[in-house]
Amino acid sequence: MDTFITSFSLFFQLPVFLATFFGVALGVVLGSIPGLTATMAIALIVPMTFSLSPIVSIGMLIGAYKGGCFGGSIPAILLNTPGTPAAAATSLDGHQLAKKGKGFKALRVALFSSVLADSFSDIVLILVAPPLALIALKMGPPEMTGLVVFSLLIITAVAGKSLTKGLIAGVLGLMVGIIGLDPIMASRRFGFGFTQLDEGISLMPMLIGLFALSEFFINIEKTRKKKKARLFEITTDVKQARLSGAEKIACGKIIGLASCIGTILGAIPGIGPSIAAFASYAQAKKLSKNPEEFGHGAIEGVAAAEAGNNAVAGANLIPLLTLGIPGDVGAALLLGAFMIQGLHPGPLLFQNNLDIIYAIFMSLLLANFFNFLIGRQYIKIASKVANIPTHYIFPAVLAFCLVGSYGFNQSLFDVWMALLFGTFGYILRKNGFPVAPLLIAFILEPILETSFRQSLLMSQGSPLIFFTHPISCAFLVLSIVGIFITIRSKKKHGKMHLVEEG
Amino acid sequence: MLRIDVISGALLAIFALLLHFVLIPLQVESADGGPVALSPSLFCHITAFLLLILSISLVITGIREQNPALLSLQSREFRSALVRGSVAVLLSALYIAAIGILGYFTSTIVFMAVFLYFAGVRSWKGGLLFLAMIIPFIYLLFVKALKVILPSGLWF
Repeated sequence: MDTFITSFSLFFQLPVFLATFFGVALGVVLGSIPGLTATMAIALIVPMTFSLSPIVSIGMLIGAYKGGCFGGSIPAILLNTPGTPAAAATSLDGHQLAKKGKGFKALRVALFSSVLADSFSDIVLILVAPPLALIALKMGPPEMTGLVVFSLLIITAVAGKSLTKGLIAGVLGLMVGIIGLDPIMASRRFGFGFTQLDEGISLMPMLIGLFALSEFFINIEKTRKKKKARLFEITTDVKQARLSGAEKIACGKIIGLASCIGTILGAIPGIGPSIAAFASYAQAKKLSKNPEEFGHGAIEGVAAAEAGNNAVAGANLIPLLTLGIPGDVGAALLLGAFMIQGLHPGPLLFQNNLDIIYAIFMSLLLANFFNFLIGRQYIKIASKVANIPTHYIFPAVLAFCLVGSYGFNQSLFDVWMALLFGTFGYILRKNGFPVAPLLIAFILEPILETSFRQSLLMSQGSPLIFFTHPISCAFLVLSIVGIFITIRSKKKHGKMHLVEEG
Repeated sequence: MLRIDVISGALLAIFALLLHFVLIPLQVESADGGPVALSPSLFCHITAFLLLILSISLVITGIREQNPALLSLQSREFRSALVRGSVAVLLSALYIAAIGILGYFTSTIVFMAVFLYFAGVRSWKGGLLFLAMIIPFIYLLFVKALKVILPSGLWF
């Protein structure tokens, strides 16, 4: 009971409400600008949270995460250019509706579906996370090694088009994580004479460099070539945008189904919102009474894609909060923000800081409420804001990246590190390597290395310990099965692609 | 025309070998005589080995691929993108160097103007409006609200 009272006192503060509101608003606006993703919104907001209390800053970042997820649907519908990769499925029907003059209706359905599915997955998170954390508390070093290996393999396998490139990015992330003092012997590793590297690479410059700066370099390559695209202007007449009774029933069913699909897929590390959105869309098409309308402006298609996409947002926090393992890159950025605040998500957070966990749960629900309020007003002016020319936006992004990477340690060394990682991320992305596994592997490296070496110490150097412990062995077997399935599905997909091209 | 995956794989394989034989022995202590699990270089060698295996695999798949991504230095579009990307990286490096000398705000004004021109903005009114909005915003947010002491440099 005391924990509840403390968490209420942590949550019911004006700064928490203001920060969450600001985070959602910024997320929706940035997510709605083509080229600026929800990930970038979080990367740009993190530096603003340095001096804030944990609940205030987490509220703001969660708000940006949720707002960015919905914001991506706006240019997907109005411009056929998804603001976030996850909104690609939304554009299939949303843009067709916009062409028919029903853009406002599509945006309203996208908003309702997003908020309902997101709230559903948050409730599942609230119900599932505490018992899961209790189980996680009983895991020893071999089990933890198995779990991290499993999560890393799944995340790297599904990120990007090539399995090998995803795995290479993951290994590079582990290497970057090694830099600094050894976690057991405390001796220097890869210091190259820089004392700043003793504590390892700072998360903030790396995060800003890999996600925001590399995006800046990629976009500045083509800004001069781009012709100014105009979004479909929308008529904001609420009467015209109302759903008929039959549409309400059909969309309600689809939202329920897509929320379940998104929540289940979102709870598995590595399965991002894009996969959930397309899986929900495919299921909705199968179940619909009018499947032939899908792809030609079916309102159910918008509901399915947006509900599937946004249901991942809450579910992604299940592995993050209970095990300390980020489900996707957005969750990885949130994990980074937690760590900056001195909080280490995982079972121990439930044991030691349950009040903070409850306050976070409340801010998740608050962010959904604000997402609905802000989204409802924003879709009326979205076609104007999303038309801001990108050649003004990206120089501003650079200025924020540099000041953001400087701000945490107030050191120019960190700004150089941000540029180094920005350039590295740019080269990797230009050559088809995904950068998300690199960041996630970097974050998980200390857990993996420590638990791996502790396990070997327990077994006096025998790697068989990972196979004699049932949970660890199960995770390793699952990893192999997961990789095998990924290879098969990628081969199948590649063959289909060749046939289509042929 | 060169296959991108083959080149990437080969470069990464060389890096992995360099790590194994040069960088790890030079930069990481090894536990002589103690349990292998205590050795700070154990995990470094494991990751370098994984990188080597995966790089070789990338080279092989790159050679086998029927429809590979190609690096064409003759392509005008490719060269233009490469030049613009490299110039952006170089300008960013100059911007950071200037922060240490001129201070954050002076260098931001100068380099934002440069980047706006580079991005294709030709309207000086638009540029001025942009600077008039972004500089006070950064000042109020980071200096006043978040109490970040930004580098002051020669002027302010």
